[in-house]
Formats: sequence, C-alpha cells, structure tokens
Amino acid sequence: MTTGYTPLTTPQFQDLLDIHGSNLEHWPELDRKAAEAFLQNSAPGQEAMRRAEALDRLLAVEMTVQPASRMLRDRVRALPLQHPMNVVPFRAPAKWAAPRARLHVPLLIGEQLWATGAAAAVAAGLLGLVLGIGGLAQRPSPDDPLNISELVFAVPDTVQQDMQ
Amino acid sequence: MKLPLGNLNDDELMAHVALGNKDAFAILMERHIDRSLAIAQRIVHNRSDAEDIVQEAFLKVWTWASHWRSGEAKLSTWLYRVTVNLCLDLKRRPTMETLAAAGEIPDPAANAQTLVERQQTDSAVVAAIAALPERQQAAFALCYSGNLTNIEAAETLAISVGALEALLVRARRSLRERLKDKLG
Repeated sequence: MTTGYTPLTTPQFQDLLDIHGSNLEHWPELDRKAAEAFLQNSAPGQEAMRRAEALDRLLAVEMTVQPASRMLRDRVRALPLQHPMNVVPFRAPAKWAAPRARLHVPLLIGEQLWATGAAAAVAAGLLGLVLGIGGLAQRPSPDDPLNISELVFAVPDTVQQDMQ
Repeated sequence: MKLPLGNLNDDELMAHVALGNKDAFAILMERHIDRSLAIAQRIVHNRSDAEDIVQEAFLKVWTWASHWRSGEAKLSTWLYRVTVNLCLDLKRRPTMETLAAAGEIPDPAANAQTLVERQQTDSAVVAAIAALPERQQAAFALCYSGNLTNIEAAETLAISVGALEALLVRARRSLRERLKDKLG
C-alpha cells in the first residue's frame, strides 16, 4: 500500500515549518501526512517543531491587531461626503436647451476681406504683447517647491500600478 | 426582485459604488477594514499611521470605483496591494520617531517584573520583524496578520506562490535566529 507522500528529511521538514507554520492543520494534506510520519521517529524534527511553536506563540502576540475603532470606521464612511464622485452628469434633452444667440453682422465681400486682415493683425499684436510680458517676468526657479503644471497633470505612478 | 446590498459580492458592490452609492461603499468598508488595518499596522508598526493608510486606501476604492474592471482581479487582493504599497511608501520616507513608537505606558497595577519581561519580549519581536527586508515584512503581515492564504498573499504581492514561500522561509529563519534566546 502506498502512502501517497515522499518521506521527509529534517531540512525539508524545517522548510515546510517555515512556509506553513507549526499548526499542522494548516498544511496541505500530503505534506501534513508526511510531517506526522516524520515526527513520530525524528528527535531533530520534534525539536524543530517545538521551536516553531514557540516562535508562533511570540508572533501571535505581536501579529494580532485590534479591530478598527468606531472613529476610524466613521472617518472612512465619511469619505464619500468629503470627496463627491464625478458620476456621469445628467444631460438635458436637446429640446430643453435654450436657442443660441447668433451674431448677425451683414458684411460685403470687400469688407469681409478687410475685416479678416485686421483681425489677424490684432491677434498678432496681442500675441507679441503676451510673449513680451512673459519674457520680462521672472522665470520660476527649478527648486521652486510649487510647480503648478506638475500639480495639475501629474498622475501618481502608484495609482497607475494599483489599477493594473 | 433586488437583493439587499449586504448579499452582493464585492464586484457587484463595486458596480454600485461606481454609481456613487455610499451604502455599498460602507458595506465594502465593513468587510475589509479590519484586515487592511491589521496588515498596515504590522508593516508600519504604528497604529496612527496604519489608520491613515487604511483611510487613504479606501479613498482610492471610492475615487477609482468607476475604473474597476469586474472579474479581472479580486477587490480584496487589489485593496491589500494598495495598502501594502502605501505602507512601503511611508516606510521609505524619512520620519521622526513618533510618540506611539516609543511604546505604551505600562499598567502600574500589573506585576512589575512580569510587565518588564513582557515588554522586553514584545520589543524584541517588534525589532526582529522591523529588521526584516520590506518584502519579507509584507509577506509576513499578509499571512500572519491578514490571515491570507499563501495563494492570496502571493496574488496580493503579484509574485508566484513559490516566491512568497521563499520570502516566508527567509523571514522565519531570520526571526528564529534573532529571537533564539526567547524561544527556550
């Protein structure tokens, strides 16, 4: 009759103790049967088990944590109130929408050409003015702790990793 | 007929959370907060920091719910991974020693010698765990404080079960060595 498991050596038994802990009930079935058979005749195995049980007792005290307090539960429960979610906004049917105001400026062909050129000149002037003021303004130091562009556009790596 | 929210699984609740359902969020919180806190506290060794981390992890659940892809991963696995990552981020930041880390004030009514011995043992265990590399600490916290199976813990850390077991073996060997005078 076969036992279904391979007999253990002391190093193998120690590795299994380190993986699963000293409570044999938590071991996979075949490993548990092999361990029970090994422990019956191995003094080093019994000593390893005794030390593993002692370690687990020490860890049990340290690793056991009190449940979350009422205060923490309330803090977490309040998160949706402090951070309203952007759910898909309600869209009114088109017939509800107010008619758009339209600018009706009757222009002749010649006037249209003139108006286009004037608009381009004004736009170029404004652009030059903005760039000029921008050049005179003091540039931010690279050490400046407040970098608005980073604040607006940075997406934390951890968030991207978390969502994968 | 609609099922009560409490009967829904995590994925179904996340679908409700994605629509802004606060009750569904509260149920998810009740299901997972104790385990998240246990994992966090065992990694950062500080109750206050652990509570802040748990709050931040649940904020991610709330704000990212609409991005949740049902069936691709277990919510618990994702939540515990977020918790572990937040803990490791915190541990990498240089911080000042906090009052909580200085230890609890002993109860004067208890036997003084027993208390001192217990505190020394507790301190030794805490120090031994804190001295482990962070991946070993995370594996230990998931399996011992979170009571996750090796398979669940491996999924949480995004590693193979074999790699997780290797972390546990190295961690216990290290602890056995550091705590040998406490093991009798």
